[in-house]
Amino acid sequence: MKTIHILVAIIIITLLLAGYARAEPEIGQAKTEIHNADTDETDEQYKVVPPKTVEEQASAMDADSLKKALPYEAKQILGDISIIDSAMGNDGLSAIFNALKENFFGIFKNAFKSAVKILTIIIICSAATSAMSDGPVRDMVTLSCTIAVSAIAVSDVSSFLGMGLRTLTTLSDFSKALLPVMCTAAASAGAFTSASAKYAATALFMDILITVATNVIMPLIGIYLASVIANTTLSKDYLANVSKLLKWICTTSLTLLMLAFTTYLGMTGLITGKADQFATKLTKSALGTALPVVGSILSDTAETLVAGAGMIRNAIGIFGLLAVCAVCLMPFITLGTHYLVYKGTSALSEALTDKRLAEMISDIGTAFGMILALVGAGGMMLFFSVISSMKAVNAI
Amino acid sequence: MEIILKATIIGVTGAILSLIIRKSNPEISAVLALAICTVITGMTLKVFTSVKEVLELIEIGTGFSSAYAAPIMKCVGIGLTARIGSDICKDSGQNAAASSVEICGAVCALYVSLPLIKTLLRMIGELA
Repeated sequence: MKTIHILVAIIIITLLLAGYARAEPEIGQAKTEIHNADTDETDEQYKVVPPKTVEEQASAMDADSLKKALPYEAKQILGDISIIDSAMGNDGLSAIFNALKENFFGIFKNAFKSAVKILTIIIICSAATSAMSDGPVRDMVTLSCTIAVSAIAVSDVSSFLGMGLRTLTTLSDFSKALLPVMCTAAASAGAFTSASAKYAATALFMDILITVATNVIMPLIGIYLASVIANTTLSKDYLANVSKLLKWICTTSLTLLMLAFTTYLGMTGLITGKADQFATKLTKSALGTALPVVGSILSDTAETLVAGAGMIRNAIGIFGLLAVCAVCLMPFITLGTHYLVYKGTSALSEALTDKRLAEMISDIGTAFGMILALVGAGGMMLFFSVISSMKAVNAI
Repeated sequence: MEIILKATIIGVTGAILSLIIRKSNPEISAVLALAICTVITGMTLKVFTSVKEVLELIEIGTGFSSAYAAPIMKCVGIGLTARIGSDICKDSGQNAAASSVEICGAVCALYVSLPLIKTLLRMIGELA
């Protein structure tokens, strides 16, 4: 259930970000359409930023390096996307949606094939065992079927476990390119203290997540699967509590890690945000009052540059979010589809065979959910970090 | 449908004949029961050919490896043979022989499942 909650939360955040991306001002262009009382000040800042300034700032922040660092999976989906392109948000989301449409059927077909294999074995076994009386032969045939079903399911989990770990590593590698650029842009836009604090926190927690995933969660998923299969073959619930405990350890460690990360990010934002606001206000007043006449001109110029840096920061942020979405897209669909198909197969097989085998298939489906949660945690970490940096203190 | 009707007729007729001759000649009664079982099993095997064709179709469509299907089919075959053998022994009043056939069936089923068990253990070992 927790994995479903995480999945729903990710979808909601993606949709919110889609709205956020659409609400972004076009780089180098006046944003005159929005006349909200809260955003009037920001609109005024955007109006006065000349396009060339934004391009030069983007170049100075080495925003193009991000495009080069884009993971292969994301490049395949997003194509030739540019950070200073005003339609980046819309184009990126369209590309992601198109990739989703193109690949979903193929992925579902593969998951369905696994379900057919499992159901074939179950039908053969239930037909054969129905002709046998209780005894050692019947038990052995049932055991053989359980092992065959387990072998098919474990081979699926094994390949997706590797995919999950690869996705986490890809996210971590991309974060090493995204976060420094994001930090530079956020610092240029006025978030001097919070930018570096958030960068450090995200880098640290991403490393912790990968270490925990590789050394703790992945082996635990393997042991969980072994305990689930052993429990089914033993024909009594001797190991049911062991598998429950392993599942609890996996989900709790991920939840705690995410909780620690979001708490740290939130607290850092609260403390350093105010410090940044104070520093920017102080700089503005110092520039405006220290030098008579020229001071106000300098202050206005600085304001323009900071506004431009804010636009670059948001553009980099949206680019990063799109890239994270694109990297996570295939693993998410694959794992999510397999999770649902295995749960469906479990429900179907309950009508054909004994409850224990159906429960085993459902529990193996849960392993897909655990891998999904692992990948989701990595994606969410980058999401939160980027959104937090984008929402950092605005302008002078 | 045709096959099950034939099997029922052969089975019931054979059983009645076996009952009639059991008092006078129990050895021939046991041989008759065995013959009936062989004939009916032979008829079932014809139907099984169609099941095998469907399995092959599933194998082509889903990539269902014969490494999984073959042990299962062998197990099912062993199980059914052991059941028939055990019941014939029981009909002849040889309970010990019936138990031996069942145990032999179980061990043989385990033996043919060994490659599957090895594969599964290797996979789990790689995961953990």
